[in-house]
Amino acid sequence: MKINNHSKQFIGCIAIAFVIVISAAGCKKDISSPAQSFLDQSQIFTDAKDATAAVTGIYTQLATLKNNVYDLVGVIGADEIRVTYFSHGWGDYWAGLGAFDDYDIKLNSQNQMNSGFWTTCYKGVVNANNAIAGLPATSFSDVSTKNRLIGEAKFMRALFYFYLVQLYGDVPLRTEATTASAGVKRTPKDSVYALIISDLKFATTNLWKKAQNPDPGRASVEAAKALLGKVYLTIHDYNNAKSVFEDLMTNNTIKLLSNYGELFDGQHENNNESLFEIQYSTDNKNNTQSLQNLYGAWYPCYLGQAWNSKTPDYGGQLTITTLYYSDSVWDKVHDKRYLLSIWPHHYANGGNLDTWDGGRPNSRKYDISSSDIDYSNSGKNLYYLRSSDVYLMYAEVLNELGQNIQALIPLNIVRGRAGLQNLETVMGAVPTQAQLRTELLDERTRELGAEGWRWFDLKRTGTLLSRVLQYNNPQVTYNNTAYATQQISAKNLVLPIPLNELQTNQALTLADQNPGY
Amino acid sequence: MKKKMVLVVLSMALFAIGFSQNKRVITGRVLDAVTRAPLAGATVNAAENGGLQTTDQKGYFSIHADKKFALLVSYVGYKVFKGEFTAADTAVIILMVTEASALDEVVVIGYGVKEKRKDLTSSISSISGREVSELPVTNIASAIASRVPGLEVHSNGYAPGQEGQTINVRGLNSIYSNGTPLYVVDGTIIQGDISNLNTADIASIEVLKDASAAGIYGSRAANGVILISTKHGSGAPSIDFSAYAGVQTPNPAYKMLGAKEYANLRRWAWYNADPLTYPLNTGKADSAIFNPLELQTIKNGYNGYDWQKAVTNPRALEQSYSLSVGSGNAQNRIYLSGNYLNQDGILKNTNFKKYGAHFSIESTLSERLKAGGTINFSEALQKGVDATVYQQSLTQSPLQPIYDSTGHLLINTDRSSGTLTIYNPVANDINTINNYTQDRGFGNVFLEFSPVKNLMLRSSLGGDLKEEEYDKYSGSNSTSGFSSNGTGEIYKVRTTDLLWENTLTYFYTKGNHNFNSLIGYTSEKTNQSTADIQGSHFPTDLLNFKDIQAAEQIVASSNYIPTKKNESFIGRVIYKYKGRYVLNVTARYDGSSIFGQNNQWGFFPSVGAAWRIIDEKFISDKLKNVISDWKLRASYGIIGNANLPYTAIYSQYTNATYPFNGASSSSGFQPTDQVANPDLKWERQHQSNLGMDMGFLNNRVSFSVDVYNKKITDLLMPLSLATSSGYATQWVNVAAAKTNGVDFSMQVIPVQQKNFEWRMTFSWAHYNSRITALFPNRDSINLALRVGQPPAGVLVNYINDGLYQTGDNFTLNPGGHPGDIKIKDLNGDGVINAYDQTIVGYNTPKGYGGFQNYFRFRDFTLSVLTAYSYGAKVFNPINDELSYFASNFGNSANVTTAGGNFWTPTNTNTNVPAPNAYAASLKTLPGGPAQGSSNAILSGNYLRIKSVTLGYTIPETMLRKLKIKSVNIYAQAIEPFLLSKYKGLDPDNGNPTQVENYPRYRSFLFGFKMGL
Repeated sequence: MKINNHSKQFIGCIAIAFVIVISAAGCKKDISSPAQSFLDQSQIFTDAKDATAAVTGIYTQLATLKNNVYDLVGVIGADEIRVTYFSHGWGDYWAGLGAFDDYDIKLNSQNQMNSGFWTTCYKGVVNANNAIAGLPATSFSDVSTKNRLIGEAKFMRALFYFYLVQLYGDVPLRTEATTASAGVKRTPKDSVYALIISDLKFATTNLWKKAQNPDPGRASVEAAKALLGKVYLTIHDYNNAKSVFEDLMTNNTIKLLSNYGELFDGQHENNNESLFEIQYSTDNKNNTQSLQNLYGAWYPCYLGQAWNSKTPDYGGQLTITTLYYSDSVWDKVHDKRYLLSIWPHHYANGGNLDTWDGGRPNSRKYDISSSDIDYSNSGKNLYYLRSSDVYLMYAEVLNELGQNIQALIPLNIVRGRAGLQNLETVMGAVPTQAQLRTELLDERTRELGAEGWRWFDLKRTGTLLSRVLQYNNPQVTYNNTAYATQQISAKNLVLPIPLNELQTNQALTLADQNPGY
Repeated sequence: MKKKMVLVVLSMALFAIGFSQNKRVITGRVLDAVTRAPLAGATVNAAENGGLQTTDQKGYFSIHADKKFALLVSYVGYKVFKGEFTAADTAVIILMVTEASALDEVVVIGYGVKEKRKDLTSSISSISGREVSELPVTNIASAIASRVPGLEVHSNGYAPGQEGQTINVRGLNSIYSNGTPLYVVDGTIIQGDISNLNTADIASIEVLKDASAAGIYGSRAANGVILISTKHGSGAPSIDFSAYAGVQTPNPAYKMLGAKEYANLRRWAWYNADPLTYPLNTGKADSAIFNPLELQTIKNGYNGYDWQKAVTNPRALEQSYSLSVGSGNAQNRIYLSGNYLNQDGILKNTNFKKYGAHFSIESTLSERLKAGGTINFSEALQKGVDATVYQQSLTQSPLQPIYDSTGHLLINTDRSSGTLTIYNPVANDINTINNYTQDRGFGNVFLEFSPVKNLMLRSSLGGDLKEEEYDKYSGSNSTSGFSSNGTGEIYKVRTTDLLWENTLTYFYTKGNHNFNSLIGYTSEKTNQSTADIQGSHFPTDLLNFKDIQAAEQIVASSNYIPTKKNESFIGRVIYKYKGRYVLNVTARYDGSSIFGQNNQWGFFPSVGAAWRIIDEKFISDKLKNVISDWKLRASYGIIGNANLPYTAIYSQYTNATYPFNGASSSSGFQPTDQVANPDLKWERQHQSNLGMDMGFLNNRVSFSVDVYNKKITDLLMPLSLATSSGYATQWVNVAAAKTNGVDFSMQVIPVQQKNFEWRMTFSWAHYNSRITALFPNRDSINLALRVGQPPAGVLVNYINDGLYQTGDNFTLNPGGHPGDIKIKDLNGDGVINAYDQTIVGYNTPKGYGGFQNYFRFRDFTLSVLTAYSYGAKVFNPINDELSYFASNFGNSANVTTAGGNFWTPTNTNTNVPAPNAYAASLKTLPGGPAQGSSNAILSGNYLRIKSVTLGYTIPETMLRKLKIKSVNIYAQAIEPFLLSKYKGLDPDNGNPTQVENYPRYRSFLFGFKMGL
């Protein structure tokens, strides 16, 4: 190919042009956008105000965990609250929720309620991990505030891990601020408990006392001690539990409200009895809970009752009580708590309903009050820990240590407030250790029914299988062989690890599932 | 409206007259000698009698003459015409004889450069404006689907105004989604869709498929590039008016049970759940199973209600009008148009309206300076209702009356049937609002400066401004608004995109050497902000969302996306030697702010070559009688991809609040679901393409075949993080994938005579995409995402093994009953769990494309456009959900007629499980009916007649006296036939779970086009 002068010039131009493009390639001009409309994690923990706000976000995650159906985890599938059987027919999500109650084939690794609960808890863990990692480097004018915030983050991390370890057994233990996609193997539960205990010990020394806290909703020394005692009790370390509870009762203040009804009327939030409460509000910031919809009923509680979305107890008829919780556990004559906990009757079109799920008594602890918006938008707080729980746990600790006579003292404080006589008076003798164990379980359901601890109580006391089969078995309760029978078995002492965790956690395979699932 | 339209016509007519009044004008027209089709853009040289000009859209030109004059007419692909005329020849008709074929057609290749098709080195498919406007679509993607080999377009919804959106160019290019191709309208890059452009304003569409073609758009071209050229005025003033109107009729795919069969189903369902309380065939259980209103219907001899009919229109009207005016001479070219479209929906209270205006001007200011611009304005109004109304109407009890005895809508608050709130699909249709409005303007202005001959400097500033508003309201008498006494939302999105492009082009020809080169710099900025207000508890339904401040509960949020910037340096040289050898070298250096500081820039070169064998001397003239065209093309290049969310390099914290005192909230921060990856870099697609174009018998038969290979390295993908990490995703750059494919298209003209003509076109495409690497030391994430499998569309599920029968072993389904769904224990470990899932199909076709037959007999034309796809499987759980009682629509939901064939102890030869009010028979589905089983994997094979159009062009002789240039009338059937075994609304859809919520329809239209 012959190239004349013009062509040479031209090719020269082109060459120059390409040199321009390619030499431009040498420049690495930064064209990042300076203006940002959100904060990056790296910016959060540089400023005391933002770091404080990041701790607030951990509480938000707890409120998210408890504001809807995940609140039923720990409540259903025990002996207090049942899921109505017809709700299984509303669609797969509800069938999956129902499986937490009757442990049927839907309680599998793809159960959405199960994976949702898991993920929501772990989001709480990562919120806390990020704060625990980031706070020490953040400058605060006041070190005790900074330590308090670290303590709050550790308290919250312990709280989330406490759910996870009880429900799933060995779980991936993540303690660092998340940076990469690396997988983490399932950590033996002893190590998980060790982290929970060390976090709570840190919290007991760095949190502020309830009375000194800037806001009533923040974790306090009292809350940390009560939770630490509960953790020790759960791992059956009774001596440590005893000393923590005694420390709490000696060095801090533990009180019961004189009127049990004030605990749940929505007008006495953050009261003296409350140790740690999950806060909700109707202040237009999406901070409401919708629990009445889960615990409420289709039919009025008494004839002529107004019945609309603002009526207390109006709800989805998703859960009802077992016969044990609605009837047999109560001294209906004397126990003031009975009618404050249970709506015993429901009426449809003037007649009493006696069909099996539709007219059953239900829990009334989540009924909205006049200051709430409607049955699915309530600002009513939830108790996580309150003083009567501490008294009953302390009684349990003493009983397990063989001090059944001393155990009666805290137990009778709780009974007395409810209008019941001392247990030994009613029984005519001091109960044996075994008798007191059963009595304490009954007392816990009367005092703390539907407050989220029952499944854990039964698992801790080794009574989950027997009590569920005895009290939460529709086929037996209704004497109708058509109903599916309660299918709980030993494998159900832990839940299945969600399938998506096994698939996305690079350190796990399908073989890391809990046995039987 | 009508009055306004007349005014517009009048004023435009006056305008046109004013233009041509000065001198005596002789109008001529350039037509194809055989087809008599007008040739637009032909060059007419009248020497001293009007100089050089081009014909308009209808082939018209005009000259000023008072005596004899000579004309020289040329048009690519035709032999040059020379002739003499006198001023007495008032109507000059010039018939052009084809020289070769469409090979000489001019193709836009990007950055304002046009090439003849025969000189292309790359794989480009073109569609003419006439073909685009043949289908009355509201979205251009639907118009080009099945016409371009290798372009896959799937519908994402059938509501009016919502047509095909999922577009894949040449296979699956990504793991997470297949981003839309880049649209470039008259040089301006357009974000997202181009639904607002009126098809009547389009001159041509080019789809750039390989690296050599798309490389000039570099980083933006990873998903292909679609170049759209709009019309410009040319020749004598012309006015074009087109209109069509017609009806759409529903084409229901799901047939539901009638009242009596449904009642039987409910009785069985409750009997199966609890045989003691709800015994069969005694009538005793009815009062517990059915509500009083349903009982009344049963009493009245099962005189039930057709809910599907109650929410759909038996006929829905649609109409569209476009008017355009164009004119051009050597100095100025202008084009103006306006259009209006109004389409009622088959679902009641749904509608789509669109108003648009398009304006373009080009002016040659001096020998060296040219300026111009284009502006397109539009407003689209989509009126909708609660998205689930159609599915509600399918599943609503046919025993339940629609209206009460006084004729008012029946609002059922009886909760005994398991419905949590009121439930009347007709009320939900009437009392919900789900509107979408889009106001959009885009366009550009440019200046071209030519300091010396063959050198041109062009600077263009383009913009795309979009305001979108979603208005929603669910009244207190609707299911979703009931419990909260009305819920409303106003959501606004504002998007702006500004693009500044500067290019320098140089043309050079010397002897056998021909150069066309370009260098340039472009800069683009994109901004988006959103604002959202949601309210509930409204004092009245009358003012709905418009009075959102009256709501008791208001939650507001907003988002401001940081400016996204792209800067690029580009270069291209096209070198031709002796017109037979073509070399195209392109390079692009791209920077994007979407990446972290160290990885913003990437260099993407490509090279293409073509060899026109037909022009070689060794092809004898004798051989040319058989082979009329023969070309080989080859290209290789690297294209970058930056298709990432702007947040990918950040660990974003979002607002959260917590009311620490149970009353007023403190503000807080929470991490979002995404972990930052500041090391993200450009994804690189190494694309190679080998193509051959051949024509036979004077191009009566021609075909084009392309074989390609794409290797994607540093594949951008959102990695699903362990749920225990507390995050959901992190974008990573570690995987690799490859795609091999073939695109084939063919055109045959079996008959080409004066009175009869028959043309056929056919396209076929095939591809195979595979992941070639995932992570270091890890080649599988789950069953679907692993090396050796396609990056998307892998269907993983459990194997449906029929139903349990009486006497079966129930170990796999403890507590189960006969009539329950049976899932195969694939690994035989005695438990149904994740180990029992397997790959049950692929959602990628083995082949797809379309064919078109065009017949012309004298002035009548018939055009039939067909699309097909085979080999793909579609996962449609909706069909099973609608067929299984108590699946996901509640335990009083109706089922399909197929679902009526359910299992009973005496009807065991079926795969529909026994109905059970407590859904017990479905519990064996581990992921529930929404995940289903292999039963929900359906064949996606189909053959569809997309349109049949019968047209008639009124002979010119009849129109001449009326001073009308052309009139064409036509009747058209849209999607009249579908041949498919698919169970559901449409086998050709992007995602059945989202799409199967609007009834399908056929349309029958009548239209006409007139040129003045």
